[in-house]
Amino acid sequence: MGRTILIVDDSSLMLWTVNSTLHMAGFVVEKAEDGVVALNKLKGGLKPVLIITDINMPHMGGIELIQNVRAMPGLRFIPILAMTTESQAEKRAEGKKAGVTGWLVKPVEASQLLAVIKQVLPA
Amino acid sequence: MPVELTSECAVFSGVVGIDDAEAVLSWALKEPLATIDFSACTHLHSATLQVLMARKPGVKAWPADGDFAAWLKSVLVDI
Amino acid sequence: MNPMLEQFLFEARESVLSIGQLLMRLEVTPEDEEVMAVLFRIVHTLKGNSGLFDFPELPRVLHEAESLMDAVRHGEVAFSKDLADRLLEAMDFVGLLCDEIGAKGHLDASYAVQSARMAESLRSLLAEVEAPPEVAAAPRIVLSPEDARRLVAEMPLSAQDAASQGMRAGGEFNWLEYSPVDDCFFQGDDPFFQARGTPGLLWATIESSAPTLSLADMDLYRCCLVFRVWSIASRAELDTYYRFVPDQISVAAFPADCFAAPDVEPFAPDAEPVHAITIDDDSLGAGQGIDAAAEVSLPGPASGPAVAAVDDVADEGPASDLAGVLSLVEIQSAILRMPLDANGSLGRTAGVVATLRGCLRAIGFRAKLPELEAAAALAIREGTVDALVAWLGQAFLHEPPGPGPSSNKEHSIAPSGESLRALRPETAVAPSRSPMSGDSEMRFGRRAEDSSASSKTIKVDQAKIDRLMNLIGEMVVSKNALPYLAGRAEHVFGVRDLSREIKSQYAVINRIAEELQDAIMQVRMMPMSFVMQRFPRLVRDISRKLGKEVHLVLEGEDTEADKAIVEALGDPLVHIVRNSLDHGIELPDVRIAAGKPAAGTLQIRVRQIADRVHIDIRDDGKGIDPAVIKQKALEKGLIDEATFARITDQDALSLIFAPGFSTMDVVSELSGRGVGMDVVKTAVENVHGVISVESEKGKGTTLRVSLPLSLAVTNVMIVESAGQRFGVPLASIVETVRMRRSAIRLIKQSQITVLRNSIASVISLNQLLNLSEEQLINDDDELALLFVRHGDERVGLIVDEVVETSDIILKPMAGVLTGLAAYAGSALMGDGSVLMVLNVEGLLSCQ
Repeated sequence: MGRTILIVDDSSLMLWTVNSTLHMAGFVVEKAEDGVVALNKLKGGLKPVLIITDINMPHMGGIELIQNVRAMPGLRFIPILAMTTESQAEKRAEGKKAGVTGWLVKPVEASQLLAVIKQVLPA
Repeated sequence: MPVELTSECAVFSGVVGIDDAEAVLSWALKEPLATIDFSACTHLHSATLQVLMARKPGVKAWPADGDFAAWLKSVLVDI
Repeated sequence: MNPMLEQFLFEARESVLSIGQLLMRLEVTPEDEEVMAVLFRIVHTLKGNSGLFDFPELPRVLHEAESLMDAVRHGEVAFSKDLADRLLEAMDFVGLLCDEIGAKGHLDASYAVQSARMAESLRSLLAEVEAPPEVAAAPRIVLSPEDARRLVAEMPLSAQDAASQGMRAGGEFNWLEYSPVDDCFFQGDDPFFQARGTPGLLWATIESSAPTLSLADMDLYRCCLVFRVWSIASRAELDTYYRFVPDQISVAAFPADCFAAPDVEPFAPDAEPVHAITIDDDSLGAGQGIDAAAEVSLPGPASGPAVAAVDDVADEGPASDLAGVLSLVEIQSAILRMPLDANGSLGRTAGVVATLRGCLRAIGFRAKLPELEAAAALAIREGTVDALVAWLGQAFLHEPPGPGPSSNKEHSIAPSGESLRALRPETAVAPSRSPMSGDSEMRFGRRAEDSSASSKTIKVDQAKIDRLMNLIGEMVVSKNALPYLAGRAEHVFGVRDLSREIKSQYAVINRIAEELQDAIMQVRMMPMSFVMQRFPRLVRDISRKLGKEVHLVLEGEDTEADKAIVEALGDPLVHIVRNSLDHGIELPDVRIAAGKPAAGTLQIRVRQIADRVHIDIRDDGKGIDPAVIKQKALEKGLIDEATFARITDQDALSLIFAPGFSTMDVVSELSGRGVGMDVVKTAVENVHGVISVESEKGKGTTLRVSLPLSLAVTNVMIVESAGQRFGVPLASIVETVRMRRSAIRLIKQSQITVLRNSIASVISLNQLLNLSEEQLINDDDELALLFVRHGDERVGLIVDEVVETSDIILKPMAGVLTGLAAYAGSALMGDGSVLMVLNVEGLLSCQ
């Protein structure tokens, strides 16, 4: 049983790159193009071990998604990585408050991605 | 299942996550004399670790991973 | 070269140029926020576009440039000439890369290294300022000598030994306290796991922050642990590792004299290394290897695009990017070391082997293939990856064959480390003078000023071409004076021979002038492919999003038209295409039910007919139902009951161009962003074009756009009224008719007539222009009428006489006259007279 990672990004290019890296590292990948789709998948019973989400997305952004996820009983403690290009402290503080575990800086390079996953996800 | 809880012994295996913490807590309250088998355990979530630190149970077997075992010994063995 | 890449390169060169200019402007006025905003946007766009192609060197450099510009924009980094230098240099490099790609179609491996270093040089500017607030938010604590000694004494002797050895070798020795916030579990943190992964971990303790830990009244989900860690990792490494929780750690460096007896070895060096939590380098590697491979802050050739391109590299043979391959190898190594999930392991190993095989082929190391296969076979037989990791270490990373996954972090994966360099000379020709070795004044092989002007295209200011265009226009008009002169020579002065000679000279000049005009217009011409090349991708993306299958057929992309027209056409065409996909072509199951093939066809056909370009956008979708359109128009108040009753189907279809009309109740995400077909129509008409729609319910819809080839020459109808001549653009004329005076009736205050069974209002030109004369009638008691378009109506303009059509060079009104909406401009005629050209829309609107 491969462990599932949910990635949420409105850029199909980004989904594709992250997907291929994670897939090569042996994870099962679920993709969602915005917060609403992601939330529906989670409400539909998807049990990922990790969520990686973009912050700026249409329909439902990353912060709102994270707030919703943290309110779901089974997902209160799931590690969530947020992808952003922004380095501003206030965005990070807001994210941390919503329950972000760690940050990935776009463009997300494969090595960075694997390292951060390694850091937040016990094998 | 990463956690098997019986009245005599708790067997932890693989990664024991935060979802198991509650069960471990009630087990720890119910079975004050039971011991733990860590031999197949690779990680213990902080929440579960806290419970074990408060309980200081007897350890039947330490983890195979020496470093992990050392961490656990440092908090679970009374000096 | 594919047109998209060609287009990108063209735009990239332009962007690089503008960036250079803007940077230089900023040097003069560093406070100019507008320039800054434009600059950032260009860099941002360029970076985004560069990511579409498989040249990771470009986005790598541009990404750093963008971050730097962003920091400048937000005032985090001050703009300086030095910074401008660096950015200009980076842009020169980008320009150089573009030239290389343009010339060779690929980039030599050496550029990967250069780009990595260029990126690093930019990043260093950012790091100088940003690093402190970004990472090092953890407070620095100074340990008193007593505290330091006490803390060191807490460690087992063996750990003390390792620390003192490390410090004597020039390494750091730090003490770190990690106090997770009590609700950290709700942020997905597992502090124990974090602490276990601390780099350079020598010794650690866990304490409870609560005075007593009691099971009975314990709050499970409130973290009450404090981790104290002794580490030989550098301060920077620790800060990077704990960058997600900088406010929860404090770090202090141990002073050099913290060891009780620094020179006395408590144990023999070969004493058995069994320590409590002391972790020697090897076993540390298991946890640290990947971290080290991947420190976010570490620059290096390992990059996302390279990984994404695994398949490409494996399939495509000769490598253009050695560093890319090496980074792939590193990632394979990292993947092998990732903790195993038993079921996936075989497949994963096989995948890694396949990638490595491709890598070897790509860099021409076929000789190593048998070794790889042997190691792979062993790995698969034994069910562990040790053999592969060992082989990788030997073959690529120049590390001694280690004990499997737990190998030495410094040597194995340090990006662009020694081991990588060892490979390089064999395959890539490095620049003769390595420009990088810690030299901040970087110089690449070529800078902008060195580049010879070898490009076959030259960039000319549009104003210069416009001037040429105007001059040739005047010449065309002036030469028309020659036939008049010939006529005068013959009739007035009676010299027939001279007249003939003037006429033959005129013929020569005329031919040259026409060719010249054509040549100059050619300069401004560009192929329609400029806007059409984005359609395949657009159609693909949109149809995927809508779940439709669409077959796109493009025809006549080579057809050329004036730059202004082609550019003005881009957005309207995109909108039409979106509309067709969104509202026209049905979902596959609907199509099958209707007896059509599942995939719809969208045809875009461009033809040149005489001096106009015709563009047909045809789909075989569900068509437009005139009844539905009529109903909607009525509901929205665009037409009244009377019109509703008698409007023809064709006229009903044209209602889709009416402002405020949208057939969809729910505004669709794709085409309904508040932009309707009326906007498309306006855009087309702005370049003197005409748009019409044909549709058959159930069969499909065709939108026809017709445009002049060039805006420079306008075709006008010359009319006479009150003894003066006026030009009316042919594009706005529907037809010219002679009508008996009695056919025009006065109803209330307005005149109307019936033309082809529909009513049109009629107005006299003299009246519109405030001329007191009556319009003339001919001998048959008929008036000359010019029916023109006004919005969706036809209006008859009564004139005295319709003379002829003529090509003119329209000059817009200048100075105070620009306010006259009734006139589009003036033109100089062949006989030297000036023709005033009417703007029909403006004229009728101001009545």
